[in-house]
Amino acid sequence: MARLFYTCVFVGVVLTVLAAAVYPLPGHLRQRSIINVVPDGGREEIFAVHWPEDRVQLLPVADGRAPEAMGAAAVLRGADGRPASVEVFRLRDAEDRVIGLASRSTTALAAAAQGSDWVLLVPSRGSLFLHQLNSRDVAPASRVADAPAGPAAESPAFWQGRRQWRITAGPAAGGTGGITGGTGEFAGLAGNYDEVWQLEPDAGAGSQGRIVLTTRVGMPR
Amino acid sequence: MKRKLVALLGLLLGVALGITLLMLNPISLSQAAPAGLSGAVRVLDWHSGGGFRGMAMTPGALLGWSGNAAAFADPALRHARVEIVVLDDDAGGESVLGVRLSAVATQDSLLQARLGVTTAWNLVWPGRGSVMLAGSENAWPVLRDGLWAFVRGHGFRPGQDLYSLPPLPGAGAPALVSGSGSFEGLRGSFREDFQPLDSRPGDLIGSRQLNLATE
Repeated sequence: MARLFYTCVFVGVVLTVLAAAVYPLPGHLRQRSIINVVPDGGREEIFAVHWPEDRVQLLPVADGRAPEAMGAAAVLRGADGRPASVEVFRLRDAEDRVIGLASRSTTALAAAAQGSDWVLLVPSRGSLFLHQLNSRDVAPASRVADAPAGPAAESPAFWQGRRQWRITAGPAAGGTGGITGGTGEFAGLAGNYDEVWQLEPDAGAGSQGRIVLTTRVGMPR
Repeated sequence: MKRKLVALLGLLLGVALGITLLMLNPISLSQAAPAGLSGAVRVLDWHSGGGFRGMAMTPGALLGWSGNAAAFADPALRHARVEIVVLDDDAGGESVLGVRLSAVATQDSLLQARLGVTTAWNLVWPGRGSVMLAGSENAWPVLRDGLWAFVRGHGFRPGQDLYSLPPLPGAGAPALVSGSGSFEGLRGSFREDFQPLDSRPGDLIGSRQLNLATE
């Protein structure tokens, strides 16, 4: 009887360890990466955000301090009144499949120029970090005095009759933004990128279209 | 009948021993050290669990057991989370606007005592500049302590007041990736400390400190 008991104890230990080895922990859906080789030897990958449907609205804050909400953007003002803003979007690949999340922060930098950071999180691949100087004022709080604060893309004054703006204006060569780092499959990548807004402003003070991030890696920054 | 009862008891004891072995395996002890920090350390306090969207931060969610109303419907984002928070400088400096993107880590393994998320932070000081951080955190110590409390009949309640969550092996050391404006050219590292909530002791939400070290 004692042998049976100890045998069953051993079997129980082995079964538990085996169960832990084969337990299906959560995994991430992986879409095929769409990467093009460009003529100078670098690699190009395009990411896109559908405006406005890919904006992510967060749950209200129950505990802790909350930033000011301006539409889907969160805003915090410094002691001198200058704002910083953050927006979060679903991130799509070149075939418009949702592959991750993207955050975009904007604030005036010390030298008075306005800059933005993009953090792209593709759960199955890793994170990619981008930084740029802006060609246009894209902060949500920077609308004209008599208009309600909101995203720059929803202001007809922003567009000046155009349907497309290249937002990136440096600091890398050619007025491109810089890829500043990455993790997972994006670790060690160096390169540059452009952010372009392709939107159709409409009469209702809204807009629709795409924000396109074209990244190029394996090229000098 | 007696033989069956003895076999069942033996099996149950074996399963309990197996779980104990997994929770206290030597690997979990060797990788329990929190990330080391060098240079000037800035402590930023924030609260996890408020303005967020995505997966819940619970041991069950990390194990794939539960969904929640705030989770993304998109299959690629089912185990991802985003939080936008205000972080307060412990030393009385300016508050910081932060966005934290995280996802269940592909390095997770129950046999290797790894159960956590990879994280990407963007911290923005209004009118001054920003930094971007890449890291990970292993919630195994919290899960282990919670299970141990459960076994002793105290419910799933991690015992420590403050956890310095270690990074996940294989995910790289938590690092300051880049900075802009006043923070341009900075290099450094960071570590997150976590204080469980009394009201929701099993969850991985509550008061947190982001310890940002710059060189």
